[in-house]
Amino acid sequence: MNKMQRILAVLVVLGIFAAACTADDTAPTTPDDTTQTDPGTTDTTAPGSTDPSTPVTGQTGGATLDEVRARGVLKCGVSGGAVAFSETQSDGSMTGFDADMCRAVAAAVLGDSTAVEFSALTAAERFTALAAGEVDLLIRNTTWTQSRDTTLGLDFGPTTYYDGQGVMGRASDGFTADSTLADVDGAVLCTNAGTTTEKNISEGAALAGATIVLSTVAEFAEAMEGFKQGSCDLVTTDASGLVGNMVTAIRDGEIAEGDWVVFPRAPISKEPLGPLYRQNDSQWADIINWTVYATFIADELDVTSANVDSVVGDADLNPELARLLGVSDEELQTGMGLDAEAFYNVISQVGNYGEIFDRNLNPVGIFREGTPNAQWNQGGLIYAPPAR
Amino acid sequence: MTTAIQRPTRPPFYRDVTVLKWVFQIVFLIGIVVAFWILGSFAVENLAKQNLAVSWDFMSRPVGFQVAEGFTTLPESGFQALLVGITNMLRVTISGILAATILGILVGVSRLSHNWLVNKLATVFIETIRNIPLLVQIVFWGIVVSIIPDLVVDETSDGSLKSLFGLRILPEGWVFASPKGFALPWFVPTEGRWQWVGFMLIGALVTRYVYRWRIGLQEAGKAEARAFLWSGGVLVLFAIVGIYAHPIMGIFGPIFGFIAAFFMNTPLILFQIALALVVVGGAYYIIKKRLDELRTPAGLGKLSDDDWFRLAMAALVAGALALFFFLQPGFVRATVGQGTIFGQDIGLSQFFTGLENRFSFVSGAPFDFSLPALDGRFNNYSTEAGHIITRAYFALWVGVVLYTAAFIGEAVRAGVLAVPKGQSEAGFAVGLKRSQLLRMIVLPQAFRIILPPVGNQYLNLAKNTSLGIAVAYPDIVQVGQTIFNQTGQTIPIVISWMAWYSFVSLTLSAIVNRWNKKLKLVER
Amino acid sequence: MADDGAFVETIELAPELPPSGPVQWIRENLTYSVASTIITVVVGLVVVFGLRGLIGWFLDPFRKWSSVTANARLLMVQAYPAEQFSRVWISVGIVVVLAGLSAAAWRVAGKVSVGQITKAIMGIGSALLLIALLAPGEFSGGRGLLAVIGLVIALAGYGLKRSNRETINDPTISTVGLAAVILVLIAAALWIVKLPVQEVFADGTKEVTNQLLARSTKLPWTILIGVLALSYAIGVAIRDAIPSLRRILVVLWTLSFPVILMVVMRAPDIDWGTVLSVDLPIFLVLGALIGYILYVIGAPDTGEWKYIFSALWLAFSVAWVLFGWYLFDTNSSSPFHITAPAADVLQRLEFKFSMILGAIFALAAPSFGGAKAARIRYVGIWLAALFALIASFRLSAVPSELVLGGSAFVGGLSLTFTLAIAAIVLSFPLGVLLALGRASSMPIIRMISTAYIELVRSVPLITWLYIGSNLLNLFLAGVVDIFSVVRAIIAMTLFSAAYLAENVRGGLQSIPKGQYEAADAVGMSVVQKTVLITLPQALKAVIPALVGQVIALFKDTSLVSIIGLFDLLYIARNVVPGQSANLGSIMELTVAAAVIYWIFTFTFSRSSMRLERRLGLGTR
Repeated sequence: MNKMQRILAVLVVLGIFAAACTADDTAPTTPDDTTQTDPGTTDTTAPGSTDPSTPVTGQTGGATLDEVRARGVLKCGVSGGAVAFSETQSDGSMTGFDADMCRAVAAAVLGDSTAVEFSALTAAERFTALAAGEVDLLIRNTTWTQSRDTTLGLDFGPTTYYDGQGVMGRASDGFTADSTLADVDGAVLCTNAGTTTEKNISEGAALAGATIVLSTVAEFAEAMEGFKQGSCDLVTTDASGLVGNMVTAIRDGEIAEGDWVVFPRAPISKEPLGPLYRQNDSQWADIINWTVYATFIADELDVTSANVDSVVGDADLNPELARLLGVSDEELQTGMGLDAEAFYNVISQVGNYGEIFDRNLNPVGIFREGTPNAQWNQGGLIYAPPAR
Repeated sequence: MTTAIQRPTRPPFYRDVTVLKWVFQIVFLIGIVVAFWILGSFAVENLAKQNLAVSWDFMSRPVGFQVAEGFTTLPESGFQALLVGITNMLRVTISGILAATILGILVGVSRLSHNWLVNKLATVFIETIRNIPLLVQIVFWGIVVSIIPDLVVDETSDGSLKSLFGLRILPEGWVFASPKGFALPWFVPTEGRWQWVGFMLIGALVTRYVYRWRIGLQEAGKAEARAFLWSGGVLVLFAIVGIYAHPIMGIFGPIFGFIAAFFMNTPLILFQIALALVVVGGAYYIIKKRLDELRTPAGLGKLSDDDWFRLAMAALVAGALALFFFLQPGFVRATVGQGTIFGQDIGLSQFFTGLENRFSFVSGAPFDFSLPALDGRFNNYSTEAGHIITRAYFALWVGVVLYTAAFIGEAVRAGVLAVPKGQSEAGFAVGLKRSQLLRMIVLPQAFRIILPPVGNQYLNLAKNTSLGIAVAYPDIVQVGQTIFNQTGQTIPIVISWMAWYSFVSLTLSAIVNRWNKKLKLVER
Repeated sequence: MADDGAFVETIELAPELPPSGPVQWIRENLTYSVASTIITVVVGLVVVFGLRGLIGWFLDPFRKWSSVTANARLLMVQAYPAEQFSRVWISVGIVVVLAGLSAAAWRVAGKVSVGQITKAIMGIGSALLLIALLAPGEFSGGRGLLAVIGLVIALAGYGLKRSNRETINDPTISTVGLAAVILVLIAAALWIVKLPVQEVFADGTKEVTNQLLARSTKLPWTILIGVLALSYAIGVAIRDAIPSLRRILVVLWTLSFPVILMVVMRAPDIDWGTVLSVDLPIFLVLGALIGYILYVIGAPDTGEWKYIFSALWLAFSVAWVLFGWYLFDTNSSSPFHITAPAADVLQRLEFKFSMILGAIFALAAPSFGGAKAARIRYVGIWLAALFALIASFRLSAVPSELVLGGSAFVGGLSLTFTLAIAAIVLSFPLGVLLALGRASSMPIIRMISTAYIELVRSVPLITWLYIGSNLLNLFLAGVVDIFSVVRAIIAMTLFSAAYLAENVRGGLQSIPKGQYEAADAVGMSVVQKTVLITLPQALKAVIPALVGQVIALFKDTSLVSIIGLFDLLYIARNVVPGQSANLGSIMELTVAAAVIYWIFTFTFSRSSMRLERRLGLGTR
C-alpha cells in the first residue's frame, strides 16, 4: 500500500508537469498534420514560395480589419524612443510623426483617432511582433528594403518619410556641409550596433577610400553622448535623427549654431520609412495605403483639419476630394470596407500630411522644403495615385 | 533477513513497484520527448511561414557586418564571427577573474581592517556595488568612461597621462587616457612567440618539479623551504632564457608536421575504428569499475534499479556513439581534418599544420615592447602601437570586476572570520610573527572555506560577461544576436550559445572542483 | 592595508572600549601604528578627491536632473492613465496595510540604543558638512548654510553622546517611536522640500522651476504613511486576540499579488453574464461532485480501487486537454487556424483543467484524508483551489477596461516588481519539484531534473530571455499568443527554478536521516513525509539562501530591458532620452535608476540579515 502511494505521488507530479506543458488544447497528433509539419517534406527554402495549402495565421483576407473592428482599438507598433517620430511623453502619451500616422489609420478604420493602443517595440522584436499579430500595423521608422519586403512575410505601405543616412561632425575638426566620406579618414565613428546604418557606413567609407575606427554602442543616445564628450569624432544615423539632436543641443545651449555639421549633401543611403503590415491581407493593405495617400492628396489640395469642414460644405467641391471625403455618392471607401467618411475623419481629426509633418518635425529643425519629402509638384517625392 | 527461506511471491505486474516505477518514468520521458517534438514541429511550421528553414549555412557564408573588436574585425564567415565573440568573451573572463580576485582579496582584508577609514570605505564599496544590478553598472560605466579622465587625470596636451592629482607618476607618452578610451604600453607578440610559449610550457613542468622538491624538503623538517620563491625564480629564469633560447623549440616543427601528415593521410576507416574502440573501451572500463565496486567478498550483490540504469546507459551511449562514428563519417573526417565542418578547415590535421608553421626556428625577441601612439588628425590611438582599451571593453570589464570583487570580498571576510580564534592564539603562543601567522596558519585554513563560494563567483563572472551586449561589446551573445537579426537563424544561434556556455561552465567548475578536492585531501 | 587585516578578528570581537574623546578615538582607529597612519592619509586623500569629483559631477550645471524629476511617473508606472491612478494607490495601500499588520504580528519592534542614534545623527551632520566643504567651485552662501547646518547637527549628536555617556547604562528607546519620528519627517518633507522640475511647452521651450518633491502625489503618500501607522496600531491591538493572525497574513500576502495584478491594476472588463452562465455552474457542479468524491475516497481503508480510479481520471483529463481537440471538437479542420483562444475554447479549457485539478486532488486524497474533520477540511481546500483556478482563468481571459499607452499594462518600476514577484512565486513550486526530482530514487526523473538544473544554470539569463522572447513565439505562434511580459516571466521562472532547486536541495541534504526513519516508523506515506516532514525543514534551513535569490532576481529583472520590455532601466535608458525635451539625459537617468534599485535591494538585504538573526541561522 505504502509503495503504491509513492507511485501515485509521483503521478501527481506528472499531472502537474503535464498541465504545465499544455498551453492549449490544440496540439496536433494525427498523422495528416505531422507530415505537413515534417521539416523534410516541406519546401521551406525557396524564398517567396508560399504554399497555398498551408493556412497562415491572420493572413486570410480581411481578417485584420474584422479583428480591429471587433476589438474597437487599433494596435500600432512604434518605437517609443525616436525623437520627433514617436516619443513617450512624461505623462505616458505617445507623440510624434509615426504616432500621428497610427492615429490617422485609427481615424479611418474606427472613426476615432484616439482609439490606438501603442506598443513600443524594439528594433529586434518589431517584425516578430507584427508577424505574430501582437500589433496590427507597424510604423516604427523602418527602412523599406528588398530583403525585408520579401523574406519577412510582411509588406510595406507607401513611404511616409524619405530619410537618408548622414554623418555629423564638428566644425572645429574642419568639417563643413560639403565634406564627403573621403574626409572621415582616421576618425572614430560611433553608431548603434547591429543596424544597417553600421553596414552602410563601413561600406561607404571603404568605397571612398577612408579608414574609420567604428565604435559601436547599444543605443544611439549613447553614441550621441560619446560625441558630445569627445569620445567620438563623428556620429552617424538617419539624417533626421542627427538634425533633431543638433537642434535640441543648440536649444539647450550646449553648443552654438554651426558647431556641428551634418554631411554629405547626398545621403550615404536611401532610407524610405513607411508603414508595414502582414502580407496576404490585401484589404488591410489597401486601407493603410489609402489612408496615407489620403493625407498626401489633402496636402496637395490644401485641405487641412482647420478647413476640412468648410471644404466639405463647399458646393463646387473638386470631385476627387468629394469622393475621398465621402461627400459624393461615387465614394470608394465603402468598397474597401470602411465608412464613407473614413478619410474625412482622418483629415479632421489628425490632419493632412503637411500638418502632421510640420507639427512633429519642425520643432526639431526638420523642414520639407527642398527635400524629397516635399510635394511632388514642388520637387519632392510625396505623390499619391489619383482617388478615382 | 538472511534466514528467510520462503521465496517472496512477486505481486502482479500492475502492483509491482519496480514495474510501475519504470512504466511511469518511461511514460514521463516519452511525454517530454513528444512535447519537444510537437514544439519543434510548430517551430518548423512557423519558420516556413517566414520562408525560413533551420539551417547552419550562415556558419560558412560571409557575414555582412563588421565586429567592433577582436582578432579580426572583418570576419569571413558566421563561424569566424562567433569565434571572435568567443575570444572576446574569454579575454574579459580571464583578465576579469584575475583582477576580481586581487581586488576582492583587498576588499575582504580591508573589511577586516582595524583602520576605521579603510574599513568603512570597503563597507561602502561592497554595499553600493552589491545592491545595484550589474547591468545598470555596466551601462553606467559605458557612459561615464569618457568623463573619467576629466575627473582624475591632468592631461597633457597630447592626452597622455602624465600626472595624477598633480603627482608625476609616469613618463610622458606611456599611458594615454582621453574620452576615446585608454591606451597602454604593451608587449606586441612577434612570430617567435609560439616557440617561446612552448619553451615556457617546459619551464612550467620544471617549476612544478622544483616546487614539489622544496615542499618535500620543508615537510622533512629542513627549515623553511621558500617553495614559492624557488619555483617563481625558476619560472622567471626560464622566461628570460627563453627570450634568447626559444628557437630551439623549432625542432618540434617537423614533429608536428609529421603528426599533421598522419591525420591527413591515414585512411578514415582506421580513425573510425579507433574512436569506436576508445568509446567502447571507456564504457567497458566504467561498467567494470562499477561492478567491482558493488562486488562484495560474498559475490556480486543485488543490483538496484539505479545500477542497472547506469550500466545500461553507459552501454547505450557508448554503442550509439560508436555507431555514430560509422554512420556519420563526415564528423570523424572533419575532426581529423580530412573534411570541413561548417565550411571551415578546422580539424586536428590543420591544427598541427598550424603548429608546424609556428615552430620554425624563428629567432629574435618573442615580444616587442611598444608604446601607444597617436595617429591622424583626430588624435586617435594608433592600432599598431601599444594596447587600446575600448570603451565597451572598459565598461564591461570594470563592471564585472567590481561586481565580482564585492562578492569575493565578502567571501574572503567570511572565510577569515571562520578560522577559529584559537588557531591565531596558538600561533602567537609558539612565537610566530604576524606575517608568518597569516601565511602559515590563517590563510591556508581560510582558503579552504573561501574557495567554493569564490569558484561560484568565477562562474558568475563568466556568465555575466554576456551583459556586454548592453554596451555593444562583441562577445558571443552580441555577435550571435547580430547574426540572427540578419539571417533569422535563431535556433542555431541559441544552440551555439548553449554549447559554448555549458562548455565554459563545465570547465570552470571542473577546475574549481579539482582544487577543492586537493585542499580537502590536505585536511584529512 | 593588507598586513594588518587578518588579525583584527581577535580584536573586533572584543568588547568595545568606552570612547573617551575624539582625539583618543582617532588615535585608536586611524593612527594606531605608522603603517596605519600612512594608509589613513593616502586613503583619506583618495576619498576627499573622489568625493570632490563626485559632488562636482552632481552639481555640474550641465546635468539635466530635471529630466528625472519630470519623468518620475514614467519611471514608476510608465503610461498608466492618470485618471486611473487611484488603482495604483489602492495597490500600494493594500501592501502598506499588510506591511503594517505584519510588522505588528511578527513583533518586529525592538529597542535601539541612544548611543546608536547619536552616532547616526553625528554621521548625517558630518556628511552634510563634508559635502558643503568638499564641493568644488565658488564657496557660496547656500553651501555655507549647509555647512553650518551640518556642523550644528553633528555637534548636537556629539553633545547627546557626551551627555548620554554620563548615564551608566546606554538607555534604549523603542524602534516604533523612532520609526514614527522618521515617518513624520518624511511626510513633512513631502510638503516642504522643493526640487527643480522642468516644464515643456508646446513649442519645445522649457522652464525649470522649483517645485515640491512630490507635486501630485504628496497627499496620497501622506495618507499612506498614516495608513501604515494605523494598520500597525490595529495589528498591535488584535495580535493577541487572534492567535492565527500570522497564518491569515501569509494567506493575504499570497493573495494580494494576483489580486493587485489581475483585478486592481488591470481593471478586467468582467462580463457577469458569462460568469453566471458558465463559471458559476462549473464551480457548483464540479465543486459539489468532486468534493463528494474526495470525501468518499479520503476515507481510510476503502481499498485500492480509488488509486486506479484517480489515475484513470487523471490520464483521461490530461488526454482530454492534449487531444480533446480531435476527439471532441469537430468544428475546425486544422489546428493552425486558431489565433487566440475563442470564448468557447476557453470555457472548455476551464472545465478540463478543473478536471485535472480534481484528479490531482483525488490522487492525494488518501494521504490527507482520514477522520471526518480532516476530510471536510480537505474538501474545503479543494473548493478554494477550484475557485482560484476558475477565477484566474476568467480574469486572465477578459480584456482590460483601460486603454494604456505602453505595450504592457504596467511599466517602469511596477513592471520590475511584477516580473520579480511573478517569477519568484511561480518558480517556487517548480524549483521544489525539481529539487525533489534530483533527490529522487528514480533514475530517469533524476537524470532529467539534473540535466535541466545544470543546463539552465550554466547558461546566462540573457540567453534564456532571448529564447523566451524569440523562440517561444516561434514554437507557439498560431496556437496561443503569449504576451511579451508573460514570455519574460516564463523565461525568468524557468531560470530561477533551477537555482531555487539547488538551494532547496541543500536544505534537503541538511535533514538528518533520523527524521526520515521516524516518519517511516509512524507509517507516513511518501506524500505525507515530503509535505509534512521533509519540505518544512528543508525550506526553513534555506530561507537565507531563498531571500538572497529573491534579491538576485530583483536585480536580474533589469536584463529584460535588453529584450525590450519597458522596465525601469529601459525607460531610463531609452524612453526618456528619446523625448525631444530630454535628449542627452541618459547619464542622469541611469544614475537615478541605479539609486532606485539600490534603495530597494539595500532594504531587502538588510531585512534579510535581520530575518536571519531572528531565525538564529547563519550563526553556527
